[in-house]
Amino acid sequence: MTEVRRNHPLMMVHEIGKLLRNSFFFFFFLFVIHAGSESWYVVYGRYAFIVLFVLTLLQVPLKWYRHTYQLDETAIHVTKSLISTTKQTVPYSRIQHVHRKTRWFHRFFNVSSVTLETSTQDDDRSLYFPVLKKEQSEAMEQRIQGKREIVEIEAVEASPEPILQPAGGPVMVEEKAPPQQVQAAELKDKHIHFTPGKKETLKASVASLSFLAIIPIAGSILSKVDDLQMEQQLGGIFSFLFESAWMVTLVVVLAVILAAVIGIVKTVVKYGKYEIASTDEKIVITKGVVEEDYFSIDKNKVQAVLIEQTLMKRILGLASLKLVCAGGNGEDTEVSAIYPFLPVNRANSLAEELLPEYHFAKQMEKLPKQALYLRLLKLSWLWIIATGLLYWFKPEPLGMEIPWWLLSLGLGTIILLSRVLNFYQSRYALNERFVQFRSGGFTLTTYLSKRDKIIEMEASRSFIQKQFGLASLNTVNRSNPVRHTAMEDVPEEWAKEVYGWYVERKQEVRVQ
Amino acid sequence: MNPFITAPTNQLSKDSVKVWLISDGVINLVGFLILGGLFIADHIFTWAPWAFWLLVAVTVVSFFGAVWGCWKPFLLYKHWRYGISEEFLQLKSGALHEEHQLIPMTKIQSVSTHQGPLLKKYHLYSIKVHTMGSIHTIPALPEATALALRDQIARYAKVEEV
Repeated sequence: MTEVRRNHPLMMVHEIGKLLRNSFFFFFFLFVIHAGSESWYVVYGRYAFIVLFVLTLLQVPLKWYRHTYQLDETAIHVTKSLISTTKQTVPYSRIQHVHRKTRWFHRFFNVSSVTLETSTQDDDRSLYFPVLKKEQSEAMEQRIQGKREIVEIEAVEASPEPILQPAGGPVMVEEKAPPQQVQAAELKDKHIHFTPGKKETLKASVASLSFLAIIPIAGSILSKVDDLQMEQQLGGIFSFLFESAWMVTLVVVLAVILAAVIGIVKTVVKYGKYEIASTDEKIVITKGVVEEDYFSIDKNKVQAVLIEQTLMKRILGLASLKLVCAGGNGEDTEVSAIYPFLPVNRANSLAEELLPEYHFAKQMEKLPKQALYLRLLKLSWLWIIATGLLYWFKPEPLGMEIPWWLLSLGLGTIILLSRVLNFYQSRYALNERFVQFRSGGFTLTTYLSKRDKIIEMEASRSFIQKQFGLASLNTVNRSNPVRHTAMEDVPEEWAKEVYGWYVERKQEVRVQ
Repeated sequence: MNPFITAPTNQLSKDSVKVWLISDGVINLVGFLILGGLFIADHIFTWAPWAFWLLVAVTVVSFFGAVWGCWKPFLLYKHWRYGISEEFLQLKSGALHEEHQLIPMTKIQSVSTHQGPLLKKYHLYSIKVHTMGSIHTIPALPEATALALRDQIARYAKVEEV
């Protein structure tokens, strides 16, 4: 019943494409740059290149044929054998999220690549399938997410009360309904929560500062003009351009329009056609105009929710909603950012819509006054070191003669301002099963996590904090590998309360 | 002072103070020997004047460090506590900077015992508890306690003995 499956045969085309792409540089180096060279390393290099190229080419069909997978009741088995054989078995319950990418190539043939992310730390952390048919990848995903449900139901039934087991039996059978039914149900209850409109995309292009992309371009052109002394050649044009005020204005206006257009195009390509949807069990994000990225995560695999606002986003009233998830690597964080340019209010409500279990506290506590004194008193090593360096080197930024103490004073002011802002903006709350922190000076971050998703808790007091009756909290969540979240200078009593609250996590934690 | 979080009750071995004193002493001795060597080198090769002052500064700092090193082990010992229950490993340490940690047993990945030459001399073991993100060390426990604790943690955390 567990049928052996493979990637789509187009994988061979994909692999050959990859081979060509990877060997292009060597080819160019050996046969074009050193076309006439007779030196030994080039000659042997050519032979080696040809042999390797042909060998790699020959093993492509083999690689495709020998890369198989099987989906059984509870796990996926992947076998890759070329010279050595690797067999991997990953239980569905260990798969953190599914990531599907549709590049140019895939789009052309209506296929896609699929990555299944687990939370281990080694190289085999993810299962990668370069080319799968749409139906194949969808079936795989449903299998993983559908079956995972059953596994958990079994676990729940097995653990608490044995009396319930006879009654629970039929339910289990029902859940084992044929995959077609699962599929139908999933499509039915899919609910689209957010797609950015024109306004959102426009705001996004401002907030992402993508219009600044013109600066390096313009900069390089200008510097070339400077370097090559093209002024002499172009002198006529330039003097013509700068002759009259309205000409200058025209040039500036054109430059601004160009910048805006480039920025909007960049943003549309990246954030246009964005869809945030969810079903009962999972959250699904689809994005990208040309090359499509598809990301799906089980709701109960979400470790924490973050709402981040940079200074620019705050000015525009935008916020970025992120899910902390345990699988994947650093590059994937871009994907787990649900949508980086949401209207502030929408960010909270969207998080609650996507994760109905999660609730943001309406009322959050402010830090006590003592925290402000403490933060003003605290030494800033950054400032001390920077001042030392400034005094020593006495830099002249942009050729301007600014006394070092003025720069140091400026930096000090910024640091102090950030601390004061941080104090006034910090909030904390404990809301039944959730803990919520908000902190940050210029960049503001709100963190919300469930008690059972916090894997470690630390409370600490420094000597000074003790004098003020304050303490710091540090929570750890699974991420890749972990995420520490600190909330500093909360009242001692509250830290104690959170500590006690964490001890009660057994209420939600299920043990196998 | 009002009570903060109730600390667990188990303490480290009293001999831990001796172990730390000796190890700090050895480190300091080596440090001062190197410094002495540098001073002699400075005298022989007549390095730039700032080198001498740098050495003096380092010596002064090391001196205070050494004095602190004579006192620190007593403080460390006095304030180190650990506790274990079916659900949590709880650690507390620090006199000036007080730290409390709660580690759920289910999140412990592995637990191991270690013994260096100094610990061996006093029949002590240190225990390392690995979690997903960090390693927590209980520095110096008597042999019997350490092994029992390790086994107990392993049982609660359902990991194989390593």
